[in-house]
Amino acid sequence: MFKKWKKIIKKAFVKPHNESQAIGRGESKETVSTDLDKNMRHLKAVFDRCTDIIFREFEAAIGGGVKIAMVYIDGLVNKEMLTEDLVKTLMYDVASLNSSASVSDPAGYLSRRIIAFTEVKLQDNLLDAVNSVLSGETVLFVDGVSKAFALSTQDWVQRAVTEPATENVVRGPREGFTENLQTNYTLIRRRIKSSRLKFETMKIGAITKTAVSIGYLEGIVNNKIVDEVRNRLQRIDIDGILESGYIEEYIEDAPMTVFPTVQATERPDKVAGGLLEGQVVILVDTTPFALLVPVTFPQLLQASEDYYLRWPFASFIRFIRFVTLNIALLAPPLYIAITTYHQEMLPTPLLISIAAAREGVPFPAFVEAMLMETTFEVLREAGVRLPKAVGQAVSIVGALVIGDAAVSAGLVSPAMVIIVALTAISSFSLPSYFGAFSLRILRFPLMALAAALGLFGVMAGLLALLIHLCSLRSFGVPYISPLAPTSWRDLKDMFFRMPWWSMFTRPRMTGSKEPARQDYMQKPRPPRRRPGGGSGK
Amino acid sequence: MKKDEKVSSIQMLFLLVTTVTVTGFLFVPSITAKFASRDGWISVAVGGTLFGIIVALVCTKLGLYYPDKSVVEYAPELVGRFGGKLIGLLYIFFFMHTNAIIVREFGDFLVTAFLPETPLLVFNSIVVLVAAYAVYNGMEVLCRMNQFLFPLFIAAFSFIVFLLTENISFDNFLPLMENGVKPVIWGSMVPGAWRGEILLMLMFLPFLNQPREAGKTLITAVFVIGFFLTLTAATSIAVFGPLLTQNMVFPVLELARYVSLGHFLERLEAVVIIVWVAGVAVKVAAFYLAAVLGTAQWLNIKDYRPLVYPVGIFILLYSAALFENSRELVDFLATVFAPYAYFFELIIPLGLLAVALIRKRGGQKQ
Amino acid sequence: MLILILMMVFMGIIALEAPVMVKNRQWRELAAFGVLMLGAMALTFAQALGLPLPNPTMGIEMIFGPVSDMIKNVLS
Repeated sequence: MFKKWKKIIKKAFVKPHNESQAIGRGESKETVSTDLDKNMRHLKAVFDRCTDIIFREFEAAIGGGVKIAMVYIDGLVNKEMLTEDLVKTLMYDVASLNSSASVSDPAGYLSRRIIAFTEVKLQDNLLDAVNSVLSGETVLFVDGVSKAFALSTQDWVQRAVTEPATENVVRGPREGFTENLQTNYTLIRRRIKSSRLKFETMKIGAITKTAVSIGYLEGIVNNKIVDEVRNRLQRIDIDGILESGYIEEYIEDAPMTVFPTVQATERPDKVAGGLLEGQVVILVDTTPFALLVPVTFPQLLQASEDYYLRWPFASFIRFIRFVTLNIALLAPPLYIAITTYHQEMLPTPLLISIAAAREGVPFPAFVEAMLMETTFEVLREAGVRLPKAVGQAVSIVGALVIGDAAVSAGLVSPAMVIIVALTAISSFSLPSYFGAFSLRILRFPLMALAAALGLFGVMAGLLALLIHLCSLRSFGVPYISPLAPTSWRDLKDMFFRMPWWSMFTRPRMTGSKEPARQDYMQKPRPPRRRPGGGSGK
Repeated sequence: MKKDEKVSSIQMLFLLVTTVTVTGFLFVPSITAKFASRDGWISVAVGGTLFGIIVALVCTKLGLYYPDKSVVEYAPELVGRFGGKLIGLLYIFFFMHTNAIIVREFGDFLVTAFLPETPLLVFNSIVVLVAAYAVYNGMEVLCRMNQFLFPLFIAAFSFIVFLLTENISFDNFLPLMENGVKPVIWGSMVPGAWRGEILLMLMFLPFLNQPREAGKTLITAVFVIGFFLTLTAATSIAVFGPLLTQNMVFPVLELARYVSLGHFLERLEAVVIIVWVAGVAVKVAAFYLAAVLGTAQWLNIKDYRPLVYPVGIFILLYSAALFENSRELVDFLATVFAPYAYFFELIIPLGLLAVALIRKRGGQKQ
Repeated sequence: MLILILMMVFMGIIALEAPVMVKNRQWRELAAFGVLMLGAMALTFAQALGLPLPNPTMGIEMIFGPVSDMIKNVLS
């Protein structure tokens, strides 16, 4: 206690000093020299004991023969392409070219005329060369030239584009993001064929050097949000990024809340839709989960399929979702509160049947509910974690234990089983798996409040929850907008999903820079004369 | 103080309506029925509204001399340092004291109507805690929270009134003004004091993103509040008659108990209570925020948040210590509260306005 | 027992609030917080020990009671 105080007081008086960032963490900033051997010695020292790095030295048939060395990582490059287009060309084909002993800019000449690759970067710095090698490029050194050539030869084994595992749809595209950043760019670009779609890439992670990319639609997105995202990303100083979850925890507005203020999604169509509404996407290499910001709580309750189904169904599904949201959060607390304190609220026949069912159950409703909810969470976790084949067994055991044995043994009442099952199904019916998490966690404190104070406790808990939700912001956007602050025109896409031709504007909070989404008066009308001539017979 | 927090006129309107109505509709019907008998609803509709409009006009006129300051801040500028600070202190006291009364009303109601075995202090401390959380998060959050809840209040209210229509007997209103105008005016004292709670605007005006609209907002608020309170008072008199109404402590609760829908939906008072709990939390938070803001401004403190907990303890403590029992509370509300509130709602602002008018101060700032 | 719980609550509040103010060097806030907190604690302990609290209602009733009576006399 006192130590903590001392620390705090010390902090208040000692001026914070900027720790100078250790540049490159020990890797030198040496330039590429004209001496090939020197370069190679340096690289070999850097890549000491890295068995997957290949050094290949050969002579190109230019003039009297120029010594050339190439460095790449086995497995990250397309070897066939290297052999055919680089090594063969340099060894045999260039012999037919005129000798060019008097070229003033040998590096430029080489990249312009000789190295037949689509993407060639000239590098002065050995550190850049090393990084290029590590990211799967092939780096070429030519004797007598003080530049390194980085050729984009990346080609590694990767998962094909498959259906996403989390957000499934009945109607809609079945592509999901993959672990490859380039593929993910393509998936978005194919949906938005506009030069206004921008991607900015940066490397985060001192050791992993993971490529992280910010994507947005220029002119639609609020530039302040992009700047904010960029700033927050640049502030991250960590050794490694393995998944976008790392990024999420560094950039979210409210780190101490159970609610996600950054949306993770696997669906390119969802990202494209978000971009069109002025959201910013953060793509991270090596993970199929893209991050969308800013996000609001209602958006977590929307599935991309809502926009593909016809609007009456979509609206109906949304309505169902609000019901399930409430069930997932409130069913067990209400059950506890009502059976413990407010029996008189139930209609008498229902009260009698519940009382009969609870007869002989040794626990109070709260303990009973806690028991069952915990069991359910354990089963869920086991089902996710175990191999598929075993997972089946778990669900069977779970069904037997929860559904039957516990009731017959008189440990829990059948009513409680119904409540738990209802809650479980409801919480899974929410489109955002990560949003549903927060509800699951919150259920437990609400249950405790219900057990302590009945409905009043539940209400107090909900009020605190509401205040909390109102106080949250995601990149400046209030978390429960458009509900509060109310934006009437955005409510069209909230409880209901109004027909597409009636949603004229982008959401006010993110898309106010270019609010018009479409033209008015596009509601389809029957033509005056039916095509195909007379009818109605 | 966080002056960059801004709320829209509609949010302010909702906040004021919730704040005044939520306790008003519980206590006003029975208190007015005591004074004005079956004409209680006229007291609420006419007298209360008139008084409310006067308060609204005075508060706006005064507030707009200093659109970015609260009464605690500009009072010293108007009447000199000592007098101004004294007025500020009085207002802080008023907000805290009134808030303690509100919390007490809340606890008393819940103990009477809902969970008789639970100690009063449990309810009081929980509502103060919830309100403290809201105050801690600031005006914007409070308004947003209320904006979220407001439709629910309206829905629950209309639902109950709608279901009661079959039990209404208009004979209970007749004869109109049997004993002349005097009891009606007398009866309007308490609803007037309630309506006057819109004086919160003296503290909250700087939060408005369009201070010019303050007058319109306040007067609309007075009318909306008048509508709801009149409807409540009229419904309880129409359903129960004046005698029964004045002897009940919480006629609205009895109204909700009275509702029955096809012998399936009964005992709807739970709905009333739940909605009411939410509303009171908003009201307590509004007064709480006014008290804390006032204290911070009085002491020239930029950040009001450190004061939230100490002020909350005062409110909580006095919510329990002010009155021995519910009887005393209702007596206080019925007799002394009206002139007490008038002093703060009308007399002080009127005095300040007079000073401001005399000093002119180059007219109102645009 | 009650006193102990109250002590813990107060310690909790102070531990929650004070470090932030010290860190941000809000000395004025800290002073105001300290004074108000001391007052609140004193009153709470007085209440917990059953001592009478200064009750403003009496004063208010004394000042405004006659006004109320006056109105009553005029209007009835």
